[in-house]
Amino acid sequence: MSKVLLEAQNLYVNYGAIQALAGFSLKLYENEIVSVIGANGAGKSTFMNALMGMVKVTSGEIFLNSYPLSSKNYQVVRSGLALVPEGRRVFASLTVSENLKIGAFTRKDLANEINEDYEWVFSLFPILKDRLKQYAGTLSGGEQQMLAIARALMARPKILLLDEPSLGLAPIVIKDIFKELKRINEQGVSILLVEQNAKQALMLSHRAYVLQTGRLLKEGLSKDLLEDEDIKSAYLGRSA
Amino acid sequence: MAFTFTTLIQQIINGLSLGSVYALIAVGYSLVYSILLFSNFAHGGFLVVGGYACYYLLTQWGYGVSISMLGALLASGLVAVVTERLAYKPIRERTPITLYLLIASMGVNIVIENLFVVTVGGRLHALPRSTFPTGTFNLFGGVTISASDVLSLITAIIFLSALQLFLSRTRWGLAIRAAACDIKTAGLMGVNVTFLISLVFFVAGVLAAVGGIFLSVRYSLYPQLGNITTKAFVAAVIGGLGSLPGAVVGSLILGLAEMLTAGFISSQMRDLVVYSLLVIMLLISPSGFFGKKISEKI
Repeated sequence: MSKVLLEAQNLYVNYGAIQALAGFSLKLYENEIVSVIGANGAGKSTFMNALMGMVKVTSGEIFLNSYPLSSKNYQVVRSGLALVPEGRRVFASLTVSENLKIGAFTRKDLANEINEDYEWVFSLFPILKDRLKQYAGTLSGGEQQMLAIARALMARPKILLLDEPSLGLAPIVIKDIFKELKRINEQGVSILLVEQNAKQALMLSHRAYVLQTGRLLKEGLSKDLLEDEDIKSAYLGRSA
Repeated sequence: MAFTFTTLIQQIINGLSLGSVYALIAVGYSLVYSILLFSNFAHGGFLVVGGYACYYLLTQWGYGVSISMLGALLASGLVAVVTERLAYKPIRERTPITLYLLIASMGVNIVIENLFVVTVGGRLHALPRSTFPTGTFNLFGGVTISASDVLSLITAIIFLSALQLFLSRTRWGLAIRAAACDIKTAGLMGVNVTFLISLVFFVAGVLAAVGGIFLSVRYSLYPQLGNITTKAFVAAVIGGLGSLPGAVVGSLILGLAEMLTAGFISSQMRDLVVYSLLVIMLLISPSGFFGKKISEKI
């Protein structure tokens, strides 16, 4: 088995009296794609935000390469995690090119290495190259999602985190984007994915965790969960 | 007062000069607004700090003009940063409601103003005559321009161009523009948002000090000088809150409107015209010339 890259142990997050995460643990191995599925309000986004240092963890610990992960947002990014936030959140009044540039904000390496990464993200999403001078706000939803992923990749992360990447996109666009996520993973980036679209997520990921009201309901290999009767009826719908 | 071509040119030059000082104040003010979405009424306080710092460096400690100005800019920038850390940051971290920041900023303004009243007194101070050029130029047809007007115009252009270059060409400038768009997501890019906000306040404080020094030259220095920020606020609203080009355009319009009113109608009507412009603008286009968001911001 390859080594554990990211480990969350027994995470609790409270928003006032509401317990959003109640003792959730997760492991992400190197070069793995892990998905966290669950209904709306299960605590999926809270989990992502807790990893990124965007919400305060009440108790529990997070380790990256067995070192404790900082709870400061910008240091988390520096240590190699990049989040594609829910709803894409591209910088609408900046150009596509500037959006990619700010994605590389933390990097101190040489300009030509950063340029290589521009070429890399253009090879994944060629449409972005044609849109470089355009304001990100003028892109279509699918293009914005591609930009948000490309922007995160410009930080050259060890782990790419995605919060509901399929949200509000046409099925054909989702298919394209998930195909590229697989390619990104094959090029050595571990992926942690949070999705309501359980079927898409399970078909892409190696392993998955099912979250329900802040607690772990089930975990296992994605292909097993796709066949699991409970999961089928609760999350995959009848057609699955 | 008769309409003459000479007066027109004269007042346009005066208006541009006054407008450029407003622009220095309005731009810093708008910059803070674009990031934190509240009207920082303590901005006038930063301006007063700059004015007094310059005054004391020149008169009490006997430094030269350039050192004194530099010291004043730094002092005002630092006061702006400290204000943010002490008064705004604790509020920001507790609530997303920007109304509390607005109220806190009014409090800070009162504190700064009264600190000067109790320490240096409420009377007027004037920067030494020798500080800035006092001569005048005569142009064609009897138009006279004072050297200090030209100087303030040039200085404003230099500082605003420098700001523009900083925002458009540098890494942190890009981060500030990204934060103006979506500050939370800027944090996700690895930008240290706390530092970014301090940087923005520092820049705003420096620009306010430049404005404060020129206002002290144009009028004189007193603890309530900061109230003139209201004009810069009006300019920023006319231009569109949060928009830097808007703040500059709004300031120039305001400066011209004031000076043309003074030249052709009456000096007492200046403020009436200024605030009428504000009311008309809010009725016609509440988001100003370049404003982007008009929803629930204060």
